[in-house]
Amino acid sequence: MFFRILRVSVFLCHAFLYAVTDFDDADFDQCGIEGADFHVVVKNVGQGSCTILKNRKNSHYLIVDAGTSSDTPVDIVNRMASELGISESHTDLPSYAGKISIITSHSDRDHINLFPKLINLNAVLFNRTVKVFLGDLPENYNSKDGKDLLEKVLPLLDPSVPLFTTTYVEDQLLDEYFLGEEHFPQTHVSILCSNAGHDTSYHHNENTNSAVVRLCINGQNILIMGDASAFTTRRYMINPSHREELRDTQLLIESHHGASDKDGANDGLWLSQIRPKHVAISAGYFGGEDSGYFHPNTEPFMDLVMIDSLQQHSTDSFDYSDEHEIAIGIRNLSDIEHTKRQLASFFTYFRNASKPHWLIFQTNLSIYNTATSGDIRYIFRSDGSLTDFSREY
Amino acid sequence: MCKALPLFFFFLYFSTFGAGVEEPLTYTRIEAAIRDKNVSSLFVIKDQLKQKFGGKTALSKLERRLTAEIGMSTEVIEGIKKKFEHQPKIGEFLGWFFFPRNEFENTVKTNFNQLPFAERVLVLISADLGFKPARNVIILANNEKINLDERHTIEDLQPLLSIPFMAENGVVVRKFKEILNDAATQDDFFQRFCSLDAGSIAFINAAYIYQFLNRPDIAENLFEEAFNRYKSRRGAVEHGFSILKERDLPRKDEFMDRLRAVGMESYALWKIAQYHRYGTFTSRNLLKANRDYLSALPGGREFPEIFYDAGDFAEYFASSQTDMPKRIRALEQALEHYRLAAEGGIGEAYKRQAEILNKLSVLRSIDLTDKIFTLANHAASNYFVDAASILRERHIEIPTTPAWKTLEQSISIYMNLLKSVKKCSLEF
Repeated sequence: MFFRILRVSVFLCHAFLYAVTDFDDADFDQCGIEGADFHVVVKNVGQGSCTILKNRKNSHYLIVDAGTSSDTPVDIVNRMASELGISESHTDLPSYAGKISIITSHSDRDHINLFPKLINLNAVLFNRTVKVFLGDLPENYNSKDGKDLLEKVLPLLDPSVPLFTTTYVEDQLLDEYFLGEEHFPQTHVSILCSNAGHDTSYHHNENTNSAVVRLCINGQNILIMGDASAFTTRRYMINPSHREELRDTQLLIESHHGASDKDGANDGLWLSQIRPKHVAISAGYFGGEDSGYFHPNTEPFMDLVMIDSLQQHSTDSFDYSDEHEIAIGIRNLSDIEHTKRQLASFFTYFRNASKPHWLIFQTNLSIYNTATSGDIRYIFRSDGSLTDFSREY
Repeated sequence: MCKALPLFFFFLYFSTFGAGVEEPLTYTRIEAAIRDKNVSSLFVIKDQLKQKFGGKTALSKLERRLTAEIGMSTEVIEGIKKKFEHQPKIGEFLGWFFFPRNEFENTVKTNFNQLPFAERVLVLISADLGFKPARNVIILANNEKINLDERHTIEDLQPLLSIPFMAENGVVVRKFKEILNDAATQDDFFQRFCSLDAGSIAFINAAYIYQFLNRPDIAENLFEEAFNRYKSRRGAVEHGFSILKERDLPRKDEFMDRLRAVGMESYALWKIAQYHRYGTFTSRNLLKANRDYLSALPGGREFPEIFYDAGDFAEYFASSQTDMPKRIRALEQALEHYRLAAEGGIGEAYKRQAEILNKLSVLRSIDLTDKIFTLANHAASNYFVDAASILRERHIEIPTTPAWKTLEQSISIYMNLLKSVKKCSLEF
């Protein structure tokens, strides 16, 4: 009896506490429903790619790619599940979960192979999927991981879930939205281009065919590049209106894990057109003595130094210098001293990484690599301004 | 391995059923229940246990409460340990066991299939009681363990439904889809299934399978059966969701009644708060959500997720405030919610507290470094990975073997927070 009385007393005390600290009606009327509404999370998946967009107004998640090929962090599937809101609850009771949309930029393993694992962990998650877009040609999904995606993941979805794929359309309009008002109110998600190799010798090139995803919040662009190549961006940007639309991009998730322009879309021409203020790179340490990609490569950094569009880290909530480390891959070890000199104006050489082909630099510019910064989270308001930022292992 | 995975606690609760009269808790009765292997009655007991204690992960608290109530002794625990010497089968009911979280996440999770058989059974049982990490273990382990290629008929598959969380396994769901591939077969299996003496877990699993088969009508019936037959909380909640359907909550009262019947009124209020929050986005709905969260808070002791989510709501509200005192007040309120959630066993809440302290240190221009350190320490005792910050702090060499990789990587969040707090303190 004593404990029962004690328990009731504790509840009453709490009820009183919350009653006197509750927000009042006026607070809500004045808030103008402009909050930290859009999260863009570049997940640390090692050498691979996974970006999750979360709309906190209606709890709608958009997963753009989910794959890894090496240097994979421990427990990655659970960490992704947590990001998607299925691990916050500690009981076996169902918790609230919003809707999910899925985009795969192209058919490469390091962009798709986590989807089957996610499904095996929690298939119920995929009951919430409402829309799917497959970048690249369907016939390119012929690897084991591609087949797993097509034959194991997609059949689990409700038959009414629309599945999109496109051929390249010249002068594709920017207002052809993948997710509109219904899922991302006050903003929209569009596929800028997909299968850009169409009708050329690049017809079957997965990277060139990669879908480029654009989230536009009040005119501010966030671009997720997949593994798009320079051919992709040139074909798209030849249209003057497209160049105009994408100028001064707010956030760029670099193509192909920060690969140089030979392999990716991170060439100086492209970067000078979009002039990104913030850049994120999803890459792990992949490379050894004889072979490897050594992402992110040095060249995009040199181009960014010349373009000089990167902002120092700053948000409307926090205005402080975030001196952080970033790993840059060097393919030829003989280029190390040259690289240090070239980047010296913005990136201060700090130390050698534990891997011989990477150098760790320090910078306060808003450019982050998942290998050195972990999960990178950008939080935007409905007016397109960056209101918060965090990086976390 | 057996020694590496100490059993912390065992509890069984036995009562009669049918007559609806609870008998006193005695070890003799528990032993008899195990000996007789009366599975259906044991499921009833388990559901009663869930109702009584909530099936939560605040294990240490539960442990204390249970120990006080039934006077669990070392002898009893030793006696139970002996029961595992006979290599029980997966799914065989042996009781409810709890593992300390760290042991579970770090040892069991990665090595489930290497565990002695008896301990695997323990994992299954822990999962059954709603221990979420255990659920993930069982789902992952089952992916490798169950050879579905050898199961060609619905009769082959049906026993899987009695294993907890099996319907969350994508491989299993695909197999069911393959076999129950038309409406007539689906209807037929549903009719036969209802005539079986299946347990509540089987009903829940079957309902999820039918959701995947795009038969919400049958799924709803199965959830309702789980509720009607066993007073299953999961059944009640899921059936409640199917009652609600639309986000404008046309049948809110019915939903409340359904959950009230299983002692989950606060939980229901929390769900309604979420529906208001994530429904049509207007300041009026946010206001309604705020009031519902407020009403649900007394249930936070039983469901710490309510505290955690209320903290998230307050944090979101703070981000919408341009008025600085209001923003600070909302953040402080979020901090308090997260504190209570952490007390309830949600480790993630420690991290959220640390993040909020970091924000407050900027907004209020004060140095909260010590508090963040304290939180990091608390987190370390709950989350193995975050223990890295402690090791680094004490200048302990961190091994670089793969198993320790996460540990090494996990250092940065708290160190970064500390770094930024220090910088902010200097700058402001």
